[in-house]
Amino acid sequence: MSLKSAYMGAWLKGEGPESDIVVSSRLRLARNLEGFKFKGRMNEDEELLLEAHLREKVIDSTFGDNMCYLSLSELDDLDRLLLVESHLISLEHFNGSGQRGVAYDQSGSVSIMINEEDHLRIQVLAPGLALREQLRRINSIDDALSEQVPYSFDTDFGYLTTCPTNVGTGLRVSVMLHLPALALSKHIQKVFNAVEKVNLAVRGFFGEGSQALGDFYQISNQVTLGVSQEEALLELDKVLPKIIDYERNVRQVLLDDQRKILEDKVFRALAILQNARSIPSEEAMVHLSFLRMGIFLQMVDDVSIDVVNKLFLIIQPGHLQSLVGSELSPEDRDVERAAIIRKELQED
Amino acid sequence: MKLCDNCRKNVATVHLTEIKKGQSEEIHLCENCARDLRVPHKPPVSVHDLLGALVDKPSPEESPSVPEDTMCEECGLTFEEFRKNPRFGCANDYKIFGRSLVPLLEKIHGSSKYIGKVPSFQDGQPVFLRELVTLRQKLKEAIKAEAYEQAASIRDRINELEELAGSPSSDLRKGASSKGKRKKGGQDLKEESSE
Repeated sequence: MSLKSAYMGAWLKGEGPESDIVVSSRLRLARNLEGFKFKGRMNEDEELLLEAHLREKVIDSTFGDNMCYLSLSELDDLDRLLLVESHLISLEHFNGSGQRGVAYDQSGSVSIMINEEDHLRIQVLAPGLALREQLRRINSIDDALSEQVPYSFDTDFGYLTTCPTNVGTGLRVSVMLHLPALALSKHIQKVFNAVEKVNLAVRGFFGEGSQALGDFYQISNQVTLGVSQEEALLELDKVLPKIIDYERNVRQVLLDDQRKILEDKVFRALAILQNARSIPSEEAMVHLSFLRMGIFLQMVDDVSIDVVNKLFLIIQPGHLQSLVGSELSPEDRDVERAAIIRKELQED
Repeated sequence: MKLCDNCRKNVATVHLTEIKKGQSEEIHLCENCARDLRVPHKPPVSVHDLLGALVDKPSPEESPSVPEDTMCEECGLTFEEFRKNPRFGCANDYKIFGRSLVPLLEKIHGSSKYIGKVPSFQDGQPVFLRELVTLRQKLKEAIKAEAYEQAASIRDRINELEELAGSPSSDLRKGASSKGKRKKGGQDLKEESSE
């Protein structure tokens, strides 16, 4: 079975509360089943057995529209790349080995990984800041699954996981923020310091072990034991509005004091994107980041935020090659990327 | 996401800037190619590397730790292996390494006691387990509200239930005297359960 249907991800629509700063809210639960060894200690037969045991259960139609399942070992490199770029699987799952798979819905807002680091990794993804709503959603999936498959659970340690950093609630809440003004004004380090002081972590665009690209940062909770799901959300509630206000304030200060400099940056970015004939993804991300800010500051009114958000995804190597329909060398990718960006910005 | 310039398959995690004749060139490689091409680089520090440093070897006077050669019968993991690479092999590891996990989990999470939702229990699970998890949340709230008398009575009830459940923290309270006498997961109480 093959994907090749490049653009997924309703979460990239640029909607939702605080969407000028908050790109997406992502929650995941780590779960293991009773009666099976954890991933690292299973042999291939056991992995196959577990995958077969779970794959029918995770495509439950109540979890999302048109849930489908893909076995990662049956996919080619490009398809796996599409999944990781769409945030449907983690980098660990992409790089992993053995029998493993993922179930996801049509809009890309639910995904359930089988045999990642834990037997089950349930994930929900939504545009903007929507933590409570998404927590209810992920819990309803979790509760439904727990009635079908007994989870490894202990009264002292909670939901048992492969890594001791996830044990307890198994809940990781990651909020993707777009912070170009804080990065530009060199205030971003202050944010990192403050965030780390309250036991939250800052990660890059593709989560753990990835680089920050285009001024996108993920803030997530670290503690999963001794705090309830709700308390974990409260920790983020304390910090997120402050970061959002901080970014908005710095944007306003830049507008008031250095409007011309800011406009120059935004319109240079737009000009490069509209005219480049070859562009690497990092460079494109940097310019798209300024353009995104320029749209929310109403400097640019003839480019829609939907197009910019879509571009962030389709300029990635996997989506790009899938759109073009063939494997490309990095040099050719840069040329095709520039062409796609020009086309999308022209059509808009 | 940047792919490796060499194999063009894996995700690049090693990023180099090479300066030749005043021109700088960026090279992106995956971990494998960087190693094959003998590019000097620091492998990324993983959470697991950091964790290894947190699992201390117990000092001799700290009696509650399990011996290094303690091995899980179900997955074959020894405590020594776990200390070097803190990843569990199965759910049973949490039981057999129980007492030794308390300090590690306190370092990572600031707590070693679960608070949160309880899965819909399968047959034979004792009702008091649910009560225990609920009481921990209540204790936290009572302390926050400075209702210390109430907190003390909740704590006493928690201690009772933890003893019934054979919890590692109950073992630690009793100290070395209970070494090796731990009850298994409250099995002997299942008969009293109505759920």
